[in-house]
Amino acid sequence: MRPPDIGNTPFSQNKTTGAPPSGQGPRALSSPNVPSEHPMYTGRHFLIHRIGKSYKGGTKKMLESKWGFTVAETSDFVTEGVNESSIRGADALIYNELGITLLGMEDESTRLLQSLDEDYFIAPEKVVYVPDDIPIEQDTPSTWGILASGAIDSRYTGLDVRLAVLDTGFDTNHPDFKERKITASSFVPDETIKDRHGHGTHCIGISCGSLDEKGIRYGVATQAHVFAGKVLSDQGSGAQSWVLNGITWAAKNGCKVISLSLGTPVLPGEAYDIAYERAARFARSRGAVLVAAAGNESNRSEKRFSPVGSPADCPSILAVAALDESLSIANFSNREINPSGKVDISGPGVGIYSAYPMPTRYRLLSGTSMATPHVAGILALLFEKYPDATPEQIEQELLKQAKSLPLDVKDAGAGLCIAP
Amino acid sequence: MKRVIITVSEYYLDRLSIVAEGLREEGLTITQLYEFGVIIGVAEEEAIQRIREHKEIEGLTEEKETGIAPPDSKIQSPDN
Repeated sequence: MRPPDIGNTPFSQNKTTGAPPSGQGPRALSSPNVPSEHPMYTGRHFLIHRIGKSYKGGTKKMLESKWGFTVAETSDFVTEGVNESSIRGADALIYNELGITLLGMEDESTRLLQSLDEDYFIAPEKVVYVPDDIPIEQDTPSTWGILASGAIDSRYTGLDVRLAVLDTGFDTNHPDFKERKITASSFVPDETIKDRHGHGTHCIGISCGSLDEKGIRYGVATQAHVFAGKVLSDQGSGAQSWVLNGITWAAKNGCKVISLSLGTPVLPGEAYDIAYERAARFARSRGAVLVAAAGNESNRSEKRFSPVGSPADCPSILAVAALDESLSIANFSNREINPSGKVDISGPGVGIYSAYPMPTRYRLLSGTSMATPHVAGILALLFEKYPDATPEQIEQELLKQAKSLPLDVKDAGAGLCIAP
Repeated sequence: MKRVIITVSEYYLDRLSIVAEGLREEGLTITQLYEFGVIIGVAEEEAIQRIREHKEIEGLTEEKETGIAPPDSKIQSPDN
């Protein structure tokens, strides 16, 4: 098999993941439709003599006779600098001053070469990149949740991703959201979107907020398009049909993430709600991922464990448990007790600082309600990173990237949610 | 009169409006009809019992109230 010529650019050879011989290249999202954007290797290899530069003879003769290669050498370039285009058609380029040779070879061939001569070893040619821009927030102080989830280090912001938070509404006059894109709708009869409770504003702050008035970062998807749906009254309760209306509205308006920090407790042995499951499947068919709070009915210090509530227990909805700052399960966080009510993942949920309706402006709250929007924000970042991915693919990636913890999967699912 | 949430079997989704009409004839007043096969309505108890037996119905529950954690709980307070 004739190896490819040096002088063709590596990227014109249609390499997908560019895995090195050890087979450990960067892993793309598990779908043939989503190629890796940052291959680590060009597909070419360096042949390096163990003695190094001082080794004089042999390499050129060996390549020409044993392999029939056309060999160029850097010593051929007297007045001009070495440029690949000048040696188009060569199979190998010997760097005389360095004692290494560049080979334009496919992986399989290098294994053969390696077996031939123990004086040489083969190393894959790396692709070099300009380092990623340092995100502006890198030196920004942040809440422990933003730090622990890695949101502070992510270069993604959820730009143009529509993230719906179905809750008690939103304070649309909150100063931190003055420049933001907000679409709001109330599904509570006789109540406007105005959040007179506070919970909804807090959750929107966690998932979509940015910096507070002192420059402290408290939100995950800082540039997401906020879809605030009021499905809970100012007293904090709502009818199931309001939630179904909110889910339908979000799905029909192109929301990729639907966050539900609400629920109804269920009994051990109780099956999940079919109507919620249908609405969730409908939303997924429109491209959305849904997350819901696992619930706060448990009291672990008193050995009381409650099952994951409804609608978090639906198969088509990700259930989120709460962690405290030491990454232990929060005392109130519900557990997998019913077979369909699994905990899928966990998020920061104790002592969470976020936005609150004016004039209070900010507040510290705890609950699986606070963990859920952390995951929602991270999902928005993932949708920005992989804009053509399906909900299933995004969920796979979310669970794959989660930080595994020394906790029971029935309490913490895949672990702590981590930003891309 | 009770408010109920009815889920229609997926097999009948292409005939949803016909199914809905049949439920109206049984005494259900429909307030919301979702294309994914969920119907919200109100009916008397005896009508509900009859509707439950319909083969097109996969599920029927009285509408649940949902909400955030109890407001008087220590959770969601600044002290935590």
